[in-house]
Amino acid sequence: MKSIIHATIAGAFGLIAAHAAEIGKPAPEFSEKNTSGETVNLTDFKGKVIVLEWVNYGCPFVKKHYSSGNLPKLQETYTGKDVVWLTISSAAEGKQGYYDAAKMAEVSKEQKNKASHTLMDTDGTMGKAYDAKVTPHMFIINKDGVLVYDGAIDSDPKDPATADKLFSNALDAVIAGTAVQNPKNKPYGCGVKY
Amino acid sequence: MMSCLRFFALFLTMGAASAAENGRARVDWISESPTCEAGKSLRTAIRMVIDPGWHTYWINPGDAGMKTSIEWKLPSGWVGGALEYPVPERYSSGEMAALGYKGTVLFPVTFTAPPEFSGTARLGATVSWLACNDGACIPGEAEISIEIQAGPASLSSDAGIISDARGKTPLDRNSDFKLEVAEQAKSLVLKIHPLHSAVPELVQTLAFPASPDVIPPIAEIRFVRVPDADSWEATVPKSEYATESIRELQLVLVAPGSGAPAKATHQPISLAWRKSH
Repeated sequence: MKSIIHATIAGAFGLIAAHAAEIGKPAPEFSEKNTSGETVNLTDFKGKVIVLEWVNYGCPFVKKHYSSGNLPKLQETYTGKDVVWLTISSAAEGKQGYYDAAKMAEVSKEQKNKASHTLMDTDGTMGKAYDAKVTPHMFIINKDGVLVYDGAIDSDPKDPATADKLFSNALDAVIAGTAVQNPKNKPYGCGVKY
Repeated sequence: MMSCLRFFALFLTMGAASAAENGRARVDWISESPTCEAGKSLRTAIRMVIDPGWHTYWINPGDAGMKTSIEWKLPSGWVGGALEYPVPERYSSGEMAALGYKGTVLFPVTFTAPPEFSGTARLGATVSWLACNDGACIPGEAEISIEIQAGPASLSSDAGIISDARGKTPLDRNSDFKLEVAEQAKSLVLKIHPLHSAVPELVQTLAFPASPDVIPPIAEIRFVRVPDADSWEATVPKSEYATESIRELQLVLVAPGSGAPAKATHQPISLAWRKSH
């Protein structure tokens, strides 16, 4: 009985922790299936820098970063530097950007997505734990499992070429082990279709 | 009733089939007169008709989305083009909110013809917007133009529509009221004081933040009169993105409870605050 109570209390605190994605604090745990049906957990990547990228291939802001090749290039560059890149779809069934796992794998390939995994967060649990607001919305978790970036991919939806590269500057700093200049900023995009 | 529903269903189906990337809205440009005298001003409005169930965005779009914007292509000598945005509505979903419009929206805009204006002039514009509903977002863009002939104004049937629309856009009242902002750790205390004794009662007590990233768009901003004082006050949360100290805030304020202003004195107003030094 006692152990049940303990488990319940731990569960309740776990829930609270899961809702507190905050810069400088441990990143919320997650456990989601990738497009091949394998379970991917935060704890699988201990000691690695992790990028979370919220996606909706139907969203015009996301389209721009894929059709220009910007996001595939970032994914390729940074996974080449031992960064774990997770693309997450939190679109609910029937909404824009939702595909079943097989179709999502196909679309990701068409879009030349080079992420380590694409996670199927169809029920929105992971999105809500991180408070993912829009697509694209970017997060960075450092080697110690601490959330160190929550914000936009860049400063200007109109012109990525001249925009301030908020996200990649932050990621370079995290890899170099230096402080992130602008760890929390407002991301632009389409609301996540929970 | 049945046939009405059927017609509506048909309409929806047709919309879905033919309107893949049109941004779920149509845009046109109306003018109070097809003519304008040299050196005189001309009142016009950009009209946006949004598909049922979809919304487009205000100057501050809220947590997501994109401001509706316009780029002018004016013949030389024509001045103007400050697009006036009507007061938005708030569409919330969970803890997020969009600030924008549904249905038919009119954006008034006034131009002045050049002093040497003769013949005809074609004013052009490109309107860009994003339309979203709970399930999707679709961008839209439209090229529109109007032709204006030199000559004495002759009011068109659209003049009344434009005049009504102007009555629903915020009036700058910074010469009558002073907005003050006191920043606290997690909240902001907003105060409005009348600047002279002739100022009427403030009926526009419901506010929207035109400046982004100061107040979260989900927060309702409602001013209440401070008892025994000639001022109104509202305490609101601070945006999670307001990391540095807040430097400026522009609010638009409306009389609560109504779509269209009941009287001219109930027209929406705008007030701005800028941190001194």
